[in-house]
Amino acid sequence: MGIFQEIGNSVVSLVEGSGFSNLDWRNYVMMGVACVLVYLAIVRQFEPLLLLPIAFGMFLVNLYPVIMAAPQMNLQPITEYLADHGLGGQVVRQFMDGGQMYFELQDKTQILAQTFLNNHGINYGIVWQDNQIFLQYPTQNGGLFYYLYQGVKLGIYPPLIFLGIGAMTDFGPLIANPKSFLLGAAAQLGIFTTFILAMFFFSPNEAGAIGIIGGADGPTAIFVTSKLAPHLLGPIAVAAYSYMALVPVIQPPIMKLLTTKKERSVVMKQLRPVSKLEKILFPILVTFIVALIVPDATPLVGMLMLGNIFRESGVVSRISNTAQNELMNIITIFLGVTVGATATGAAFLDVKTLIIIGLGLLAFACGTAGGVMFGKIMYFVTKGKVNPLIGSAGVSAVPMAARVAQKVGQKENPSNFLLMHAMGPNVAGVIGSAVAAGVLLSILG
Amino acid sequence: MDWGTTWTVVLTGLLVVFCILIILTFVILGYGTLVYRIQNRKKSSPKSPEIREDKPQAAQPTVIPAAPAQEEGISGEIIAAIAAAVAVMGEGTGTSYSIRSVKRSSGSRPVWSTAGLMENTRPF
Repeated sequence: MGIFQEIGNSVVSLVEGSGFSNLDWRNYVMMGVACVLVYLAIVRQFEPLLLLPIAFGMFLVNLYPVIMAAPQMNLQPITEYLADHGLGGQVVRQFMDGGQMYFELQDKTQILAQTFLNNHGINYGIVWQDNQIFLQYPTQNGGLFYYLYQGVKLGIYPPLIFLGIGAMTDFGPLIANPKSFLLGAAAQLGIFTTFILAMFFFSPNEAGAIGIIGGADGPTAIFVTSKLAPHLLGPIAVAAYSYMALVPVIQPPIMKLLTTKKERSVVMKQLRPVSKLEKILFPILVTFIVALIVPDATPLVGMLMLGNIFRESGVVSRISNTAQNELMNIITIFLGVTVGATATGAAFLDVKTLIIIGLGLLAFACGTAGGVMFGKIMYFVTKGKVNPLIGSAGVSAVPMAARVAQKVGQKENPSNFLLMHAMGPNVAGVIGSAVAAGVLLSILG
Repeated sequence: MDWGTTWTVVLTGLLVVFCILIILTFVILGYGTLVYRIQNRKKSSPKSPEIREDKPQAAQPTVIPAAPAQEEGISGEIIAAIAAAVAVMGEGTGTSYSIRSVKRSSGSRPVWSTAGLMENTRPF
C-alpha cells in the first residue's frame, strides 16, 4: 500500500505542478492572440522579423509564466549565516560608517563587510536593516527571459538595433536635399497629437509611451516605453509593429485625401550626387548637434550614426557587415521574445490595450497627415517643385513609407520616380523620431 | 487631464524637434554646398563650370516626357528598383541620370549573362 500511496502522491504533485493547475483563462486567451500574431507574421508577412519572436515570446510566457519570473531573494541576519558557516567567531561587531558596512574582527581590525565575505568565497549582496547587516541571497534563480529582458529594461537592445539600422542606411538622398529634414520633423506631429488624446485616458508617462508609436519606429518605441511605462511594453510593441506593416494600407487614402491630382503628379528635379566626404561628415555632425541639445537622444542617435560611419568610412567593412547582419539578428531575437514575454494576460487583456491600439492607428494617420500637409506647404513655397507625397515618407518606417510614396505618385504619373526623393524624409524621420523620444524622456523621465 | 503638462510636453517637443532639424538642415546645406564646390573646383577647368551650368538648364525641358515611359507589364516595384540602382550608379560616377523610359530588352541572351560577359571582357 505504501508504494501505491507514493505513486499517488507523485501523480498529485505532478498534476499540481503542471500548467493546467497554474494557468487561468487569460493565459489561454493570450495563447490564442499569440497564434493570430504568428499567422499574421508567417502567412500575411506583417513585419515577420519582429512579430514572429514577439508572438512566440507571448505564447511561451502565457504557457509557462515562470520563464519571466524575477529571482527570489531571501534575507538572513549576517551573524546567523556566519555562525552556520563556522565564521561567527571571527566577527565581533558590525557597524555602518560613511554609508559603508564594516566588520570589526577579534584582532580589533576593521574591514569592509563585503570584502570580508568575498575573501571567504561568499559573493552575495548585503543590506543594512534594523541596525544590522543582512545577507541577501537568491533562493530561486530568475527565468530565462528575465535575464534576457534586462537588455530591454536597461535600454541596451534598441540602441544596438539602431547600430544595425545605421549601417544599412544610405543618408545620401537626405544630404542631397536637406529640406527633407523638415518633412521628417512634420511627420512627428503624430507623436504629439496622440499624446494629447492619450492624456485623457492615461498618465503623462503612459501617454508619452503611447504617443511614440506615431514615430513609426520600433526600437524607439521600445526604448521610450521601457523607461516611461514598462508595464505597457507588450501592447505598445504589438501595436507599433502591426501598424508599421500596415503602412501601405493606412497611408494611401490619407495621401489622396490631402492632395490634388496636380500636386501628386509633380516630377521633382534629380538629386545632386553626394560625395563620400559629405557622407562621412554627416554622422559626426548630426551626433554632435543632437547630443548637445537633447542629451537623452544620444543613445539612439549616437548608435545610429556610429553604424552609419561604419558603413560610409569603407575601412571597417567586417564590423559594418556584423552590425547589419549577425548582431542585428541576435538582438532582434532577444528583443522580440522578451518584449512578447511582457504580454501576459493580466497586462494585455485590458480595456486600455484596445485604447492603445486605437491611439496607435491615430498616431500613424496623424503622422502621415502632418508630413503631407508640410509637403503641401513646401509645394506652395517652392512654386510646385516639391511633390507633397514625399512628406508622408517622414514616418520612419524605412523603406516602406518611401515605397508607398513612389507607388501613389506613379499612379498619377507613370513616369514619376519619387523613390529616392522620398528616401530623404524617410531617413530624416528616423532621426526626428529619435529626437522626439529624447525630448519625451527628458521632460517625462 | 493635466492641461499644463500636456501643452508643456507638446509645445516643447514640437519646438525642439523642429529647431534641431532646422539647424541640421542649415548645417548640412552649408557643408554640403562647401564640399561640393571645393571638390568640383578641384576636378574641373575654368571654362567647364559654364558648360556644367548649361547642362541642367538644357536637360530640364526634357525631364518631363510627354508619353508614358513605362512598358506595360512592368510592375511598380521593378521600376522602383531600377530607379534606385540608377541613382546609386550616378552617385558612384558623380554624374546625374534621369530615366526616360523602361522597356524589356529584346535579346536572346539573359541580361545577367550579358553583364557577366561584359565584365569579363572589358580589359580586352
